[in-house]
Amino acid sequence: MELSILLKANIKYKKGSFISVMILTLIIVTTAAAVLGVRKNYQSALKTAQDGAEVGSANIYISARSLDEDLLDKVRRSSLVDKAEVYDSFVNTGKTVFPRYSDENSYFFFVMRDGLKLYSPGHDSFEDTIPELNKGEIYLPYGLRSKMDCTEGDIIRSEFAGTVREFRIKGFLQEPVHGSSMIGWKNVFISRSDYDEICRIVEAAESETNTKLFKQVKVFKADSGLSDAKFLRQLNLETGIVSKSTGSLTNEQSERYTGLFMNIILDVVLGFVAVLFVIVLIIIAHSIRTEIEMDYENLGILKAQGFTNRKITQVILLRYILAEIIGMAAGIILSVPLERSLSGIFMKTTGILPDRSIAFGGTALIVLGIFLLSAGLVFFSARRLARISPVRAISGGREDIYFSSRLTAPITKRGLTASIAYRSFTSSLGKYIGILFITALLTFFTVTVNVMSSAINSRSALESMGMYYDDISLRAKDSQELLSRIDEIERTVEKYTPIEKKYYGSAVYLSVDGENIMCEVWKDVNFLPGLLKGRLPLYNNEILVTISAADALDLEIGSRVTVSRKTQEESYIVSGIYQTGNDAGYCTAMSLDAAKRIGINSLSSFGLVLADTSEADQIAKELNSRYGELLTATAHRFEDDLYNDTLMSAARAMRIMIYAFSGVFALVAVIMVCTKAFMQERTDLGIYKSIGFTERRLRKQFAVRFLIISLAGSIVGAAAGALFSDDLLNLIFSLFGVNRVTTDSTPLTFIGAGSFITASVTLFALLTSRRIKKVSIRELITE
Amino acid sequence: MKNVILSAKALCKSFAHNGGQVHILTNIDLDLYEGDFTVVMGASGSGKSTLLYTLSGMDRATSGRVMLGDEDLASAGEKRLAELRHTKMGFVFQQMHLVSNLTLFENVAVPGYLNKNIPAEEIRARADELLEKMNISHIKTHLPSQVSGGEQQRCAIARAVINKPELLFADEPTGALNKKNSGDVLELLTGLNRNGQSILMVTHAPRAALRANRLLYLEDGSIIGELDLPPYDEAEEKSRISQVNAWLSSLHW
Repeated sequence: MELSILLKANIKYKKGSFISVMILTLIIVTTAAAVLGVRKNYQSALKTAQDGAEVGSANIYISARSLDEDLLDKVRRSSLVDKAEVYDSFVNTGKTVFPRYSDENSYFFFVMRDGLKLYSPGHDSFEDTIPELNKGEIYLPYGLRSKMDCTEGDIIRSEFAGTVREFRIKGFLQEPVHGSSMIGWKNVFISRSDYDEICRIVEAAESETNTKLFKQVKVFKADSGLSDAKFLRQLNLETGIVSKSTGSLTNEQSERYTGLFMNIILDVVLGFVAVLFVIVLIIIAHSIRTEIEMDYENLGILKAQGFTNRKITQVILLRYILAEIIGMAAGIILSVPLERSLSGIFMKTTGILPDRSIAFGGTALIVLGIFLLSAGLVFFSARRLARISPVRAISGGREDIYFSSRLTAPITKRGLTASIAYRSFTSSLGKYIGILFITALLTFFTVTVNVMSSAINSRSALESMGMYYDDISLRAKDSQELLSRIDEIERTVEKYTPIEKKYYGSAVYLSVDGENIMCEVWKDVNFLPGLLKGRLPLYNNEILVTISAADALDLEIGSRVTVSRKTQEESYIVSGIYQTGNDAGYCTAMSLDAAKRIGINSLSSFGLVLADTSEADQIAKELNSRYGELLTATAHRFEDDLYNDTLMSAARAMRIMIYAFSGVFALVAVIMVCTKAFMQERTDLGIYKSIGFTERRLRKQFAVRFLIISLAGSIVGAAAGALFSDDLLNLIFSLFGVNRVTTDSTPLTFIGAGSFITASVTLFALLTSRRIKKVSIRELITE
Repeated sequence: MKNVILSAKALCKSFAHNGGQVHILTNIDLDLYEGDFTVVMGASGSGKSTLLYTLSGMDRATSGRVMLGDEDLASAGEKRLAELRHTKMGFVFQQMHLVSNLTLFENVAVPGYLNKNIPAEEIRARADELLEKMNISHIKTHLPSQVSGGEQQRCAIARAVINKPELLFADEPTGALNKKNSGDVLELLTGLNRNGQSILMVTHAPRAALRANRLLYLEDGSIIGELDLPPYDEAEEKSRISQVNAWLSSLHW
């Protein structure tokens, strides 16, 4: 009973901090629950789609001529294989022209089959039945809709063995294997009559064309406990089917690439929530400390009446828990629309229609974590209660001020406001250091959020996925000569703008432990994006492998592999695991120095990332005129690439969300700190008013003090951000399984964050100081 | 004929409570005169503190007027009231309320610094003089927490008069002090009054009331009694005590 009375009174008189904790919890729970919901809904929807389409363990694309009955029989009889299904197809490796863009990726054409789902016109549900395709109609996977900016009714055009055919897009399918916009090869579906007709044209073609008859072999592994990659390697060793194929994609690779962009961005957002939570804990600790100081007298009276420290701590704990419960409940409700809109954004890249449910399990874990950690913190911070002596509390309240500081300066008539403000600093250094610490922390947080957001601008996200994009690409006419004169070419570019990254490389197929696998050879591996574990190669006997390759070849960091090319063979050590967009992530990488050991001495592609892209066209023009005999330079505009645009809009939405939540978060924290400081100084403000200080002067004094503190705090926070935010982010991301993120911070990242916090603190100190008006001198009078 | 320095006409103060109005002050007409040491007495809840707030402009009257010289405090803005507080009024509180991070000297000097017309040197000299007069100059560099309650209250009185106010308001200035310190503080206030300082003091201590030359008795928000006395003279204290006690008895104190 007594607890509920005290709790009610506590909430009533500490509304501000109650509401602040509630809002901060709401932000954390809303974000976390939405992120977990997006991931859960995507994963469950993907699973349903895979089950419905019976996707198998791997798809192997092999030319019709290479797949004879013997080979298929071997595959079917292998103990590794549960079953194998074969689908007829033809592939078009030429250009597919859409109304606004064109695509040069391979399209595999099939007759419509069972198991796939057709999106309704609103793309928010599926049709009950899939209408049969008529001649000239085509169903496309949903990922192409955003990738190629096309819609139902649009006409697409392809050339098959010299014959141009047009298809009208009848609808978009949920195709769980190649349907994502992250995967280049696409399965598309046409009518039986079109299919047969084109097959006849291809068969009749006398010479090699860009269209070939193919078979898709869908293999299901027997329950051997092997991963998809290992299963495929074993199957290849037994039958040789993969070696004879044009390409293959395991289900695990497909899953990884379908959700790659989404997962990287969601990891960043979860990292953001983790940082947010740590700061909330620090703010709660600060809040409890100041509350105990301010309530010294009342707490002393309660103790004098027989309330134990434990009971008082329970009241404080209950108040915070109650605020958190309300914040959590509201957060879970708010997370639903947020989850819906985030899922909608990611659907553009995954091509999978997400389920609609709340991630109760994950959210419950987060909620429990928040409860436990904040409860622990309340108990820890409330230790100060033990120091309250009822006698001193009743007779005089809080501790007397004694200070002797070398920093003390006299109070002067000239600059009276400033000298009094300065005295406030020197006499309560502890309190102001506390506020400075919080300000520094908020600035550090804002810097971290800035840096974090830079990790999800689309370009950085691409790099984190192991893809790269250059502003100028150089196509070599004589690659040896180009490589030998590259320093001179770089100097020409740097007359315009510094070069930020140099992607000079080649993609060659090598035999790695007997497996024919793509190897990316880089002149400078330091620019190589997508490292997940371990380190980049330092020496010429080191190699990187992707997760799929490591899995298939049974490799880990430190493993030795034998790499051979033609007649040369060398041993290499795996120095790290990385990811790349090449060959659906089944790849290796090494430096040019390492590749020279097996006879690779030249590179085929040269890409430059410029600090200032505005002069890319001019640079390309000069390179073409000066080195025309050596190379062809082409300038690219990242933003003009539609595919990047899709990613950019998703990344932009995430950044807006992070910034909006950070802004609200920082402001709530600032209001909380300012209000507390104001409450602590209320009596002094009343005294100053009684001796003739105007409200304006007192407000100025209050705000100036906070300006100085926040400026100092911001400088400390920004400096800490510059030094540690990258490390902190990488530490956080490693908790979510991402070992290296590409961030891009500039001086503006730090200055902007510092200015934002300084301005917010000063503004809110000024707004809080409006309450000086309400400080009545009457409060100084003892009735 | 004494000059009126503060005049209240038909002063009313009421508060809203539980949907109704509680009347604290009812139609008070009161003139305070230059050079007077006026004491307001009354039982707890009689409205004496509210009368002090309302007369000093700390609180607005519900109706009626409070004139300080030619100026109506009811219509004065916050800025003007702040200016009046460091030019024409001084305040002494029961709990002293010194600024805890300023030394005694600085606590006294700061309100003086607010006065634009007085040079800093003169304020410092005045502060020194007042601290000397209050017998606390030897501890002027101490912080409030390093001195006794009596010394703090003497410092508060010095602070209240640094700008030579027309009227000094004192709210139970001896309420938090022991007998010895109370006597010292009353002596200082009496001394100031002898030198021409007008004082309005609220108290419920008859010993403190003895210092007044004019006593007002407040009951249920109205002034129901008034006693004029000659200026305080320690030699005549006994007869003064009898006179005041008789007056208070007549008012059922």
